[in-house]
Amino acid sequence: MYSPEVIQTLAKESQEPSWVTQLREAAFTKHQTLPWPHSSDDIWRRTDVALLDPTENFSPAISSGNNASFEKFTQPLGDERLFVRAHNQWLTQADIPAGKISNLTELAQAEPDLLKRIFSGEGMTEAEAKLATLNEAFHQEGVFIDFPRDTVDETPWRLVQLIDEQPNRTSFPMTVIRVGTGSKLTLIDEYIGVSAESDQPHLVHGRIELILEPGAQLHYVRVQNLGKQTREFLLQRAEVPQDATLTLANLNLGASLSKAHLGAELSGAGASSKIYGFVFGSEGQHIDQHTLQDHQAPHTSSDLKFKAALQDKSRMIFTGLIRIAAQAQHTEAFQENRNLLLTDKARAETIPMLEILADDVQCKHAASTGPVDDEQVFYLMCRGMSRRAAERLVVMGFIEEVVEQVPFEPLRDLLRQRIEGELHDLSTSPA
Amino acid sequence: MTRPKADVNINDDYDKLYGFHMPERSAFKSRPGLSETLVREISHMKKEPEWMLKHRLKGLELFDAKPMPKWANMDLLSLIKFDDIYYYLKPEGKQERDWNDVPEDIKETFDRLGIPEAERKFLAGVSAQYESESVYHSMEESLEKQGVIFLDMDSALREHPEIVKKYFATVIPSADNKFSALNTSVWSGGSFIYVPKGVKVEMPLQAYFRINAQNMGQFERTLIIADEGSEVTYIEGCTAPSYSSDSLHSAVVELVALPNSTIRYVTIQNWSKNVYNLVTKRAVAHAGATVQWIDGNLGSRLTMKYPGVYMVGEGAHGEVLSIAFAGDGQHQDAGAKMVHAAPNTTSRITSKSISKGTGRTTYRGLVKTYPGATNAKSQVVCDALMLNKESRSDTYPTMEIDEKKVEIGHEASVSKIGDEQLFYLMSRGLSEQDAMSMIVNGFIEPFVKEIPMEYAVELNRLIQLEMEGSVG
Repeated sequence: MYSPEVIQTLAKESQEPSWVTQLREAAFTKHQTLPWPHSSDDIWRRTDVALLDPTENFSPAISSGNNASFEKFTQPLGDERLFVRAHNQWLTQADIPAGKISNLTELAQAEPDLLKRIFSGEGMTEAEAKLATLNEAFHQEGVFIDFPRDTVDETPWRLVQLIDEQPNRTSFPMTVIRVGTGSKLTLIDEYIGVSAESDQPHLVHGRIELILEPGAQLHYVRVQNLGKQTREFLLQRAEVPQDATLTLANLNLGASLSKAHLGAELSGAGASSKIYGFVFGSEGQHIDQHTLQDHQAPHTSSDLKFKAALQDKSRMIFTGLIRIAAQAQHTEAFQENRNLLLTDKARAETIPMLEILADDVQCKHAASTGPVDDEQVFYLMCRGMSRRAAERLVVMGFIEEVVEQVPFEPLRDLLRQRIEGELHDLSTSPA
Repeated sequence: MTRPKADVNINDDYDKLYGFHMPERSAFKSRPGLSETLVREISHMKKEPEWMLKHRLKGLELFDAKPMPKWANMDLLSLIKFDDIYYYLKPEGKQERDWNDVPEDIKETFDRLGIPEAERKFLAGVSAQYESESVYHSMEESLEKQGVIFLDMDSALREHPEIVKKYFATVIPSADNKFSALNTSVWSGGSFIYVPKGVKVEMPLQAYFRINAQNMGQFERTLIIADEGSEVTYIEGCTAPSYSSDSLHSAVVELVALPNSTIRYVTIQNWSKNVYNLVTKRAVAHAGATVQWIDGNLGSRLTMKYPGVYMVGEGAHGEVLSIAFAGDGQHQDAGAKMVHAAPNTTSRITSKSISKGTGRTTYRGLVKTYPGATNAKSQVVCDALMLNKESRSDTYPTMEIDEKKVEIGHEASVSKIGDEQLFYLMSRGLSEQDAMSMIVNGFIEPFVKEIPMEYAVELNRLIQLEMEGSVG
């Protein structure tokens, strides 16, 4: 189903330079030589990688031509700059005062070295490369956002990538964002599944590269809102050099299975990153998130906060690694994972990991798992709230810490409504 | 602020105190390497029942079949030359109950290590193992009268086969991991303790393990059973000569804490830096029982040890308190495992580690709650102190929570000695060296106060805090 012929078809459609097609072919060859991740690897132990393998039972996604069902997503929620994309086509493209939004073919023509570097596989584990090479071989044009030196936009950008969830087919979205020295961008990147109403799975193999230049500022929020039959693998990486600042939030709402690797490399003095994650798990959802705070330079700082509220039979796996290289002295790194179990069948597994090779550092992590705190509920009930309302308020308060990182009020409201709508009343807990 | 060079010295006088060795005099020494013939030979010499030989052969099969743990420090693990190791070495003489009857070399060894003196002072019973066999054994008569059994494992198998058979390999099946399989196939020596219902053993029982020969493998097997409402404290110490070639120590320790009993298991591991210490330790705690592992790791080149408590009865409590020091070239890969399989079970893990020079400390842990373990509570705290630029510290805790009504928390911090802490103490008139010494002492305090006085003094001596005052 996935073969060099598929690459030839993609090359023809995108009219990309021939060296890009050669990169695709090299990636596919590399994919075939690498082994699949094994369950003896702690980061893969709890998710069956066979469920993410498109090569046997899946076909490439095709354009259904049915863009009418996408129309409802093309209206802005407020004053954001909205860009909506489906089947490699722009449905909406806001006017922009500065910066540039295009696709990977244009990136290849304008910045061949940048694309080659992204495809080099540098800094990936073998397991990550096994999956990432699939996207590198079969990506469909993708999105390239470029904020050259000293480009500042205070208005948030909102990119909506509509995923046509055709059964037994695979989508390969790739997004590259580059923010130059002295530039500032706020971007909300929504993956919305448009369900095909089938009980057959759709597969999404996503790749996101965030490239900051020295002194750049990027606030990037990803909202994963895929359908309940969709499985996803995502590799998101970020390069944060000297004095650059990255704020990253990943909000995970949909998909039957999501395996996401989210990372930031702090490669220059004064670099800092904040990573927030939120998972709302329902039904039989299986959410496996791996994070990496990779300190490669001295005087860098990072903070990470991951929260999960889990109901029904949902299962959350968090493996978070803080790595501090020997040369990364005077570094501060923190990591926090909090899991709220709302039902008896919900499960949470958490492995916060530290690998520290420098001695002059401050490094802490904390993790906790438990039910809704009875004391908090009791406090609210003393003030006249019903138990039901009090419990719901405690859950909403728990998630608010991450929801408030979304830098766009109308979307925050939508997210709160969505979660509150799907949140069941807690079953009777003893008074 | 310019820091004067200050140093924390661990085991600086190891060679003088423990690193010596005696001429090797053995009644039987196996050929190096592991084989079915050897396993049969060991079992035959020990005149074991058939079921134990079957255990051993199955263990050998599993050891050959199981791969090395991939997640471990393979750079060090792959250096073990399994074919060069002597798996069984029986020293001259038989097991004695009178210290004067122990062969001269062996007596001198344990005299130099201070064992008989310790026995007189504060122990209710002592066992001393030299190479593969126990060479000395004694216990207070009053305990014997109360029905307490304290024997080496080989004698226990001969004298109490029914109890050994009932519990052997029930807490740690030989298939548990590659090294528990290895131990099952070639085990020799170790302690067996049975404390009858309601008996409280006030003074600790102790075993001391000594490797003397080169390329030696020591595989002791320990089984402790505390019957309902009983209490016992067991202490083990271990040292070896400093050879240039490597030795292997791979023990299996199983504890069974029956309802409302308490077992405290204290280890001061101080093998020489040529010993690989790959140990499996686990306890089952029944309703209302408490198991405490107090684990100090100072020696060895590589230690891999994760004492565990499986809480299978309501209200059981598990605790691990551990401290690790890794000096140049050492890797202390230690941790804890707490499995909550019953309601109202509680556990606590406190891990303190210090890495110095090129030393590396790793905390690797698991907290698991099964469905139905309602109101389980677990708290894990790991603190690591790094003293040099070349030091390394890792933390890999795992929490698997399958029950809603639980409270599971984990915290870890890694740091060097803070300038602020030093400044605070120095502004109150302490020299920098004294301040640093005080901070390190404060860091290990929670561990030191949990071990018997004599051991605390010994530990403080091992961790000499000698600060050199030259301004660098």
